[in-house]
Amino acid sequence: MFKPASQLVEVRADGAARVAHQFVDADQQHSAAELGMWLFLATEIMFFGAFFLAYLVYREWYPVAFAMGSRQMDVMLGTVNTGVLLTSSLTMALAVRASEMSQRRWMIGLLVATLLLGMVFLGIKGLEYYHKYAEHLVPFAGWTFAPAGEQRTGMMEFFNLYFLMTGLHALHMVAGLVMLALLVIVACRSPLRDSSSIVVHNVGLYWHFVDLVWVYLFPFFYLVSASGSVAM
Amino acid sequence: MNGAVITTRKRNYLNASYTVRSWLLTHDHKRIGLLYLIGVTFFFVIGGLAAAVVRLELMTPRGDLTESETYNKLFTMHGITMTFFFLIPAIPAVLGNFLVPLMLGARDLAFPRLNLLSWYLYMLGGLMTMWAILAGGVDTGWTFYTPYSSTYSNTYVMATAVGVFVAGFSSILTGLNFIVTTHQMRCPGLTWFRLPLFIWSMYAASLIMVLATPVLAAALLLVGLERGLGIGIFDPAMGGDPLLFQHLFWFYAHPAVYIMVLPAFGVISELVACFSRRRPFGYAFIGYSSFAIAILGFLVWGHHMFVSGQSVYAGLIFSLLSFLVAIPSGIKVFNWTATLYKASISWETPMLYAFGFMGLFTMGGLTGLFLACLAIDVHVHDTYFVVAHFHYIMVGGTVMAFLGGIHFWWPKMTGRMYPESWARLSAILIFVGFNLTFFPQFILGYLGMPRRYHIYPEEFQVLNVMSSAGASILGVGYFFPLTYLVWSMFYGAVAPENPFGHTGLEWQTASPPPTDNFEQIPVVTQEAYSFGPDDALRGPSEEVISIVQAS
Amino acid sequence: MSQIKTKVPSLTLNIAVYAALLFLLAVTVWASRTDLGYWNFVAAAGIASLKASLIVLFFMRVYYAKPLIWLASGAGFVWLAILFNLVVSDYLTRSRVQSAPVHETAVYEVPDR
Repeated sequence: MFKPASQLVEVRADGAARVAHQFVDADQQHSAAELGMWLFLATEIMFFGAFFLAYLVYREWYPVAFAMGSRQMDVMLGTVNTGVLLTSSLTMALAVRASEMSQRRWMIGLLVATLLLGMVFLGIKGLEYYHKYAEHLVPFAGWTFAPAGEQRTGMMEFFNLYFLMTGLHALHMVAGLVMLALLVIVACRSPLRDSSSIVVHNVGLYWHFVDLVWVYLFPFFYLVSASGSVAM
Repeated sequence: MNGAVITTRKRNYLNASYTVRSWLLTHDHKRIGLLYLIGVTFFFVIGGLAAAVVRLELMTPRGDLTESETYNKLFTMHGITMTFFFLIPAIPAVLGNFLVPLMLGARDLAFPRLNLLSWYLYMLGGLMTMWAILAGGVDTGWTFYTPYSSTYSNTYVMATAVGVFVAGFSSILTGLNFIVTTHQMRCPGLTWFRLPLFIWSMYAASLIMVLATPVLAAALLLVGLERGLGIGIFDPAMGGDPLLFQHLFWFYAHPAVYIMVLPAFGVISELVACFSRRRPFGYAFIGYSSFAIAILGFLVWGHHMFVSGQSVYAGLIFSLLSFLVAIPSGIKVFNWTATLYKASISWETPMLYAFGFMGLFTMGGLTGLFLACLAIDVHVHDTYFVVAHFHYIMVGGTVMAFLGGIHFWWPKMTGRMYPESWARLSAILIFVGFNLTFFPQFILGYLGMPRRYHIYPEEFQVLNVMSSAGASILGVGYFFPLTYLVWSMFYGAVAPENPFGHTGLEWQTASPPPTDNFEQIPVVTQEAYSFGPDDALRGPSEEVISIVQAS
Repeated sequence: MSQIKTKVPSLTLNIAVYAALLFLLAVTVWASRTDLGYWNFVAAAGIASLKASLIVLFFMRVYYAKPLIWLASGAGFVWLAILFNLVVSDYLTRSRVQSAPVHETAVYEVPDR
């Protein structure tokens, strides 16, 4: 059976052990924080899930329009952006690892790398939004919406969901960037404590979750039917 | 009282400090529970006043007290305030906040700051909604159905939706806190099957809060975007499907019924055990059935949409699944009844509420089966039958359990006893008033009176007047506890540690408890509800003894 | 003071997961350029789920975590499956009812007078 390589690391517990008064020990605090973060992510999964459901329903209703809409997408930029985000997930995972092995400099470096990659992602996303705006593909009230004809309604639905879901994703990215920036500032000012690694781990979980959402958004909006027939 | 008496009083969470700041910035779950009690009571009064005007208007068949538009705003105000700002937080945020750490033998919830934040979010959401109501009101009904809410209504839908959206976060945070606390912070020896049943049901309700509320947030966000930016997600004129909103809304709002009633089950389990001096019959089954209800509760929302244009095939599935909820609910009612069998029952006020609950919840649950049946639902959908049904669950169930629980734990919360005879009187008034208010509505609905209309045919007047008369009795019944409980905080008899002789860790500490709950973290060595021989107040009842002698 | 011991995936494993993710990204773009008809969507969703599983198991460390974390991380997805299944059961069977021969039976021959 496939056994992923791993190593047992003893997280250092020197420095002032900061255990909040309601907890018995650091272990309990650590487990509570991790479980709390996962439950929060479960609420996030349900939140985004509702929009994915809307996507599925309207894709079922307007298969041709959704294929046409996705052909307006810049697959090149989308692919590059997915790569950028996946790379940021790697640097984040390594930053968490560094924090657990008490490699403070590595941790700060990797967090900064994650931060920069996140900003690159948002930059590219902004560029794409600008292109869509210039092409009159933003279907908000009163704005001219370029595609006319039979598939207009369905395409509007496609672009509604595109802006809504990628927009919400971008907002979550911004929140993640703020958290990363705070982590970097705190890490630069003070030494690592035994409670630091759980904070970094939790921010990491959030960052990977945001990545996870994009992993679905990318094929659903950019790759619906890049070529060939529309069969739904 | 002289100074010496005051100084010898033990430090507790109430007299630890008296500043406003120490209340508004407290991290203590007990103080936050009391803050929630104030908020919840405030919104209950607001929602109750709206209901009073509604009932007053319905005294006559003509619309002579309010305009139709005003009437729409009134029942919307009643519905929104009562569901989102009273029923959902009532038991979890007040009793749950106060009791969960105490029952688990913990010093506080896992995330005390999040807990305080949740109260602020709740108040912010509530006050925003109140502002919307004062500014001009909302007329969409508490369900915000599209496209009326997103496109056509000319009222303050946005502000209300934002208020409910914000309050949703408070509910999520509370649920998250309870789940983490139950998993991670049980004191030594407190295994899952030694937990009080209140914890089991709070845990199940918390699961729903965490997993369902985000979907409501998404649905409201979409309504807001459609209304604010004019993008068409639900509006059929713009290619959307209004039924998608109903799916998203009810995916939250049906399980939300179980957020309201599961904690009530927990309270009733405690009351029945305490006042019949017995370990609840089938402890594990009551615990499991809470989870079964939480999970099945997510599979039945389509029964709100039987006549909405949803596929009939989906309707069939939803109907079948809805019937299944009756099984765990039945387990609970039967097990409570079995606990009472030949037990030494005493009739303190909390137990009166528990008896009221068992009868009224059973009626509410059984009429729910009528509504889950596709063919009958076509006849009674959107009539007063539905109104009566869910009031039997929510007022007859949740409010009864809430009041029972407040009385039961009042000595623990405040260190004072409530006045027993006044409390019994008001419990009886509430029971009588409730039945007089809502039983006629079953008949009205069956005869075909639709909900949400204030003008109705002459022949419905008698039943409507009965209902309004009952509402006035109910109002008096609710007014009593509001006054005598406040009175008892200052003048009530000082409560001992364990006035009702119940088991459970919350009764092992002082009344009111110290800020850190326990002098030392307790160690549990017994099953829950192990009433010792001394605890059985009167031993076996006279009747049992005579039967034993006869045989 | 309690020492917290955590299992940490090795550097090699992290890089391997990253490489697999990039490979799957390439595969999904390639698959979308091939005409598979209905299966295009299945392929896209399937590959996305594979990538998601890799992220959840290794980057988010669920593979090494306690059973409780497995439950908590799975709960969201399970409940989402409930939402999707029941809503889709409505949408996929709705047209059968609405396009049932209601209109055909409604066509009566109106006799001339």
